[in-house]
Amino acid sequence: MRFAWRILSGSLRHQRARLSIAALAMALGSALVSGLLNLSGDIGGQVGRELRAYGANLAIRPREPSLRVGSGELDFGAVSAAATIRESDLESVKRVDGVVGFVPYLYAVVEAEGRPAVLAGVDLMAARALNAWWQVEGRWPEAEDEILIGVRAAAALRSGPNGPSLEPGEAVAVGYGNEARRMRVVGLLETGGAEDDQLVADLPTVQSFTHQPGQVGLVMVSALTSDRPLEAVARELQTLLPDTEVRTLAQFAQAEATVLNKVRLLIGLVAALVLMAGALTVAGTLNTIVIERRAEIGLMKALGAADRRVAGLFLAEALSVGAVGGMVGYLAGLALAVAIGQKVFEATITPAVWGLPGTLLVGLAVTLVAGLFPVRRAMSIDPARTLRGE
Amino acid sequence: MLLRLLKDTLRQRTRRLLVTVLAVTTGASLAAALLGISLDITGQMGRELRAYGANILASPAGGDLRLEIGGVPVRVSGERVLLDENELVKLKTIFWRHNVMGFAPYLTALAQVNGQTVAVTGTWSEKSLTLPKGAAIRTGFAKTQDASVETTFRTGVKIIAPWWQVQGAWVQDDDLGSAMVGAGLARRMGWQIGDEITATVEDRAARFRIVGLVSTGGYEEDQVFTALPAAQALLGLSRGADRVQISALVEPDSNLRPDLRGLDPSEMTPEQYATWYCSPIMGAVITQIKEVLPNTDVRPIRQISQAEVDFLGKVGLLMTLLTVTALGGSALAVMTAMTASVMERRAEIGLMKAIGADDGHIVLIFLSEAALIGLAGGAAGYVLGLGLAQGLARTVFSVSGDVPPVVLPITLLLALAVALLGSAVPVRQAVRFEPVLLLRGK
Repeated sequence: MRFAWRILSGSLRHQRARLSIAALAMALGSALVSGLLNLSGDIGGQVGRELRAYGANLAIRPREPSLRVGSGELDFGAVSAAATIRESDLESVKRVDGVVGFVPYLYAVVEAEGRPAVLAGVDLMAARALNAWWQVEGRWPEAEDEILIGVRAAAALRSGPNGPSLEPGEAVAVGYGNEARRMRVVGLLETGGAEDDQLVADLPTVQSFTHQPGQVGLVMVSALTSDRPLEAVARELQTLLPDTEVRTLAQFAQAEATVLNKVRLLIGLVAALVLMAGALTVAGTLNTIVIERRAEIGLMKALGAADRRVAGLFLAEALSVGAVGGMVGYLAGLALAVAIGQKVFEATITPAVWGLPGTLLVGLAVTLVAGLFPVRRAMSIDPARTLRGE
Repeated sequence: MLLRLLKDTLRQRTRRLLVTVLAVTTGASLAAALLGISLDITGQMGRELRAYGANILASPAGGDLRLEIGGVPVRVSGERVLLDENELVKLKTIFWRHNVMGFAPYLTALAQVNGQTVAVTGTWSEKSLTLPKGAAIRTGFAKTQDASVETTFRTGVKIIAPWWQVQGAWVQDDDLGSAMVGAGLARRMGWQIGDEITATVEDRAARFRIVGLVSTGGYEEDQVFTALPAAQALLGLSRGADRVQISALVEPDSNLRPDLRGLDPSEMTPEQYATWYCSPIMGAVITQIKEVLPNTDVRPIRQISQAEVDFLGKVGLLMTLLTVTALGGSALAVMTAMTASVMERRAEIGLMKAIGADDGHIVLIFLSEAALIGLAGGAAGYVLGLGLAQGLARTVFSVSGDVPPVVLPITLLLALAVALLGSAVPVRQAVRFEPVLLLRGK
């Protein structure tokens, strides 16, 4: 055994340059594996977080939605008791596993400059964080009675028939029931959605204006789908808020699942291809070594070394390449993961626990397979012929 | 002399050469496939992201505010301004017509059903539209051409909103007596497939048989959907829609020519504007839609379009990083294969030296062999890589992937460079040794 070790360490020393190329190739392959393992264990998590930029994938609504229509022209039939959701009940939503955040809304139909318009009360802090697609020209409301106005609403509420659109700084007369307030426009809102036709104020403003303190009419919840299925999150929310109806927004949930699977598959395949290239390199390197040391192997055999012994020696070399490459690759992959995390996903990456063992295992397995072919070649060397120099 | 040597090598060492070429081929095919996939990744991924639905909304310019809460209209204000749905076929004549994946018009009426106010929306499920022969088609900036053949295509909700789950059947676009009902509304009203409902708007009434239940989790669940003409009849109109959703493939603005990024189109030079106009970005597509649908307010649905563009940028960056790593991996594989093939022939180098060949000559012979191997392997690898890219694209995106032609020269150059580099080092080492040592097999 000690003898075998001496041969191995000697050959590792002599073939340093060549073996380091093989180790480098394995390191590249392993770097990808480790990088992918370390991207919070699963790149799907990061990509999933990115896809959350599309907005909420769950909606919580009162079981019997009712609309408080200020001008009262619209008959929606009997309004049942639980027409809104209590804001205080929403505290528990934050603690549900997988929930990234939520935005509560309360809507009312009001008179703006004498014309019917929708006034949306929105938790502006939450909307700013989660509704990344809201584009505000001007600034976000800070004081009560400051509002954002949708771009189409700004055009419709212009002063004269052909006057200029409303601009930040101007005031709008808003009436609800018997009450009237002057609200100051501080920003123009463009979303390409319903908000373009609405006035948007902070949630408490609308709650006090419409005399519904602490009430909201709709909650849009954004939940990650990579760790647990969206249905599970929806069920948990439903048990927490029994008076509401929790709906999965198929548009986002379904598309997200599709896209996530595609990205995962793509990255997995690319990693497999790179590992294949690594295996080729290891095989090529070991092949060169076997050719170079034909005479040596022949001598070993002539002196009575069994085929098994020779094979073991070369496999040991392959495994050391795999181990070194795997180690280096693990570290490089960690760096890669951190770089990708910062550059691509703007997130800090914490190393995954099974990143190191996982990478080493894959690296060793690949080198072992790659080593089989050159080892067979070494075993088939005929001592008599090689020693003659053929 | 050189040629003869090369020819001899080819003849006598065919098997060995094949092994080396095979290694180069494998490396090159990996490189070609990955390059191909990553160059086209934003296109492919963009197509996938269209599963998120329409990213452009067209509505009539002017008109009153839409009174909608959670997507359901609560009141339709006085004067309706409408879009003519017959004009929509023109969306398929714009410069980026192939990027227009689909569109659907919507017309919503607030009708009384069973004493309750319900939104009845007319739309297209899967309408067949025909672009007549001779229609003017944009083929370039300020360039049009008459369509040489009549083309027919299908568009509607089925295409732009693939997440709609319909239990039962979809409403046929020419069937004015059927309706699909949102699952939430049906639950509240106690309706089932096969029931008949009567919708009334002012003095006009229409009977619909429920043929399907729509589940989306979104606002569609609280509406009734009919064929577009049925909703028009309910409102006493012969044509018109109050909004059109368009699903178009667009690329991130970062794919724009560098000097055009961030420029306001109205401040561009004519040449710059022409280039901008012919780039598949949101701004250009919207400009083109406005040209064929005048008096229309066309806006990106930012919730979809912005997330899409951000995401595509990130996936592109990610793929680039992965591809660079993978290219490094395959380059190493090719290099080691080349090194092995030279190492095998050290005795030959010794013999050449012994009979008086000078070092430069030997290096030339081996390097030209390496160049040949690199080119052959690169070419074969490119062909294989095409197949590999196809396989990858089919597995991941379920479409056949097109590898851009620019990949061929890149692959060949890479294979050539790496093969030369891989053999240059051992050849230089070999020519430095004493021929006697090489011949003895040291």
